[in-house]
Amino acid sequence: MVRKLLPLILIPLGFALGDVPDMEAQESPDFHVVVNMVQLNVAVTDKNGKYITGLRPKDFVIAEDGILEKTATFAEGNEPARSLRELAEQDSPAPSGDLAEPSSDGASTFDAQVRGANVFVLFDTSNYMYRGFVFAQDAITEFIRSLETADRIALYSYSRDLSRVAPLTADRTQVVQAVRSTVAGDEAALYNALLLTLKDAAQNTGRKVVVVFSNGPDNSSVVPPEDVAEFAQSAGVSIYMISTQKAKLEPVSTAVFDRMTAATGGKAYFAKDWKDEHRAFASVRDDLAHLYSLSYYPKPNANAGWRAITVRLVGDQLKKYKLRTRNGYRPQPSRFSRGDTTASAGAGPE
Amino acid sequence: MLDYQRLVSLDTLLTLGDALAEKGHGKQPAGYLIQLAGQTREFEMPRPIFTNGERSEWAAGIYNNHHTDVEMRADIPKVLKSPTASLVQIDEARGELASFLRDTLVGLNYAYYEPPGAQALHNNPLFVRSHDFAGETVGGLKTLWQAPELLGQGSPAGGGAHFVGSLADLPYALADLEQDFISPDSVQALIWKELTPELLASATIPRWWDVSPLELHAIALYQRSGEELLTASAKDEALRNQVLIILSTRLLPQRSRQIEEALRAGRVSEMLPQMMPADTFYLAAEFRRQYPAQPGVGGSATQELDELCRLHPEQADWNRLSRDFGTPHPSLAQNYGPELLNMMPMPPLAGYSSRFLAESWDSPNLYWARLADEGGYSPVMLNHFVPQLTRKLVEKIFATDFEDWPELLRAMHETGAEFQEGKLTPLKRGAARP
Repeated sequence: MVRKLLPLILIPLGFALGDVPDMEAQESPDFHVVVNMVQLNVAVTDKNGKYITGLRPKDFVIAEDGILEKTATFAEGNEPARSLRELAEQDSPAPSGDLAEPSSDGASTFDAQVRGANVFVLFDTSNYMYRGFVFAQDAITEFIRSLETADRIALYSYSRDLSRVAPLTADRTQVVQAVRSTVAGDEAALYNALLLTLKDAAQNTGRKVVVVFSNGPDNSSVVPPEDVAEFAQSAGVSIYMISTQKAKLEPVSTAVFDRMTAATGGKAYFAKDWKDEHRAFASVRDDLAHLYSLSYYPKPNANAGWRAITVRLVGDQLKKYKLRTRNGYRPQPSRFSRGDTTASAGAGPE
Repeated sequence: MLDYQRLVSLDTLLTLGDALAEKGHGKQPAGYLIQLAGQTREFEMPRPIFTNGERSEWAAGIYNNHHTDVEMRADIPKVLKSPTASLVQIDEARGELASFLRDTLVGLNYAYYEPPGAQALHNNPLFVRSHDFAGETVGGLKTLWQAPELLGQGSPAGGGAHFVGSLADLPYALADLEQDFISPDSVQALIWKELTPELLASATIPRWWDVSPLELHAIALYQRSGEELLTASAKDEALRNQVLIILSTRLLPQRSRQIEEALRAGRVSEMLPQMMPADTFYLAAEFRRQYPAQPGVGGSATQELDELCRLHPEQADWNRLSRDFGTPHPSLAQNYGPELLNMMPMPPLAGYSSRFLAESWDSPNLYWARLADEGGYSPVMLNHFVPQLTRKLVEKIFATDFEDWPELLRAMHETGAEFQEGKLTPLKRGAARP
């Protein structure tokens, strides 16, 4: 609710480059940059990969291009995002060192925790999927059923083009039925389809993730994975890729899956085969349930290009933990975004 | 599109060229010019996913950004700012501007023919910069300066696809590039590749800036008059023979028989929705030409058309309407000038000739024009509507075989119905009507 009240902000850092200014003495380029609130999904784990829960906003330090940023909203797991002021009023924060035990993450707690996420499932229905198609359908169905209380789920499939099989909905039955309606065939344009899926996801507020089920190779896309990854980073959408060991035979896909997911704060999994993907599904579910959501409004920053984001934990007790989140974004100078107010830095509130 | 491609504007480039020329004559540039020159350094390469070694291994012969690399090294602001820049350095800087100018000019062409809902043009900032006229990015290319070929599709380490060749046939090439970003309502139809690029190009090549409201109205009247002739012919055998003879030059024999049977049986209301707009349009126009002594046959639309032709013959002139509301036929007519060809549907053949199939379908723009007229829109709004409506039409096509023309008609009518219900455009009726 609070997030809906947060306005989009315009950070004027000078004047638009498209204009010819009457300031002849000034020699360094200035920029207008439109930046929405930047939202981060952050996973915190110990050395064994167990999730660390119970952290508070003051435990995190966010920097953009080395500029320390002030956290605007914060949430853990299924909590609705709240401003720090609200948190101060409503919470009795635990001290940094007084953390909850690393979660064992049983399925029973998952349902409550994942509430609020928008999960876009992108299913590979290309020729590469013929042999394992039915097994993959079963696996996706099980995954969707397991997301009982996730806010909304969409199912898309792709081969040469994208099919929006089930639009974003809270109706699990509709999505499961949609899984069964998919058919396999044609070339594989994974990165084209992923781009379109990310664009749909970016239209929504709240946590957004895309879970891709793909057997690997792309033989038809015209957009490169670099542009897709940048869009995901700028829109604040985490990508999870679930594939099979067969994909590992194709080093290009393996490299893209690992690097693209890492850059967006997600993960890549290579299951033994489609019948053996349960661990990957469980891991994705756990990840969704234990993400911290932090947001900030960037302080004035003259960098109109790629902006690096770093998040770290403060305090000796916390430094040992690992953080996973997106590593940056590229804002669009106003010359390039006139009239386009879609989230350019991720999850701009409506 | 120019913004998404991070291209420097023509004005800026020309201003910088002048500033460098003046600097060569000893005049120091004003501060704002140095700032303006900063635009040439705004573009950044996408964050790399692959190492150079991986690209060499996995995209050999495809990944080549020499042109962009040169631009990234250019430092026009430094030369402008430097009080000690030599004439050689200034000349070199001016030469480097040519690279940016090339991109902007190519980008303007791309932007002019951008298909509705384009994605590659909006998400791959290297796409315009990578246009390879001379075939430098591919080995063994025997024919240069031909219609552009898409290179690098399906090669993830290749930095994205790009065109190799000239700008000839660019509207079709761009439509071909972008077609798979259209998400069909059902699964992709069998005739997708044979139809979609041509349909999209037919929506991006014609423009309607100089079309008058009377012309637009004439388009609607011709179609309605054709329908009235068909209706009247159900009860008039002589008229029916005249109508069927005219239609026989456009319809396949099987289709002609179906229409004849429907007219004889009086199933007019069932048959009319199955008529292509181009057929009813042609019927009315040709009937007027062949039987000028029979004015008024039909109904109110025919009478109104008679009146329009009498008072404003130039506005209802076939050649003018053909030019303004026809579609391009680069394969059939060997030119890009929009026109109405009036021919039977062409069979889908393999290879290049498969474009004949879509080129022989002239109906969409006539139908969109009729909707615009009946909706009270100004003709210039077609520039906005037609690409949108055509894209929506493509999404709805679910033809099951190559001869499934009724399915195309269904998709078009469904799109038209959504347009009339106000589902497809936020614009108000009467918008921009003078």
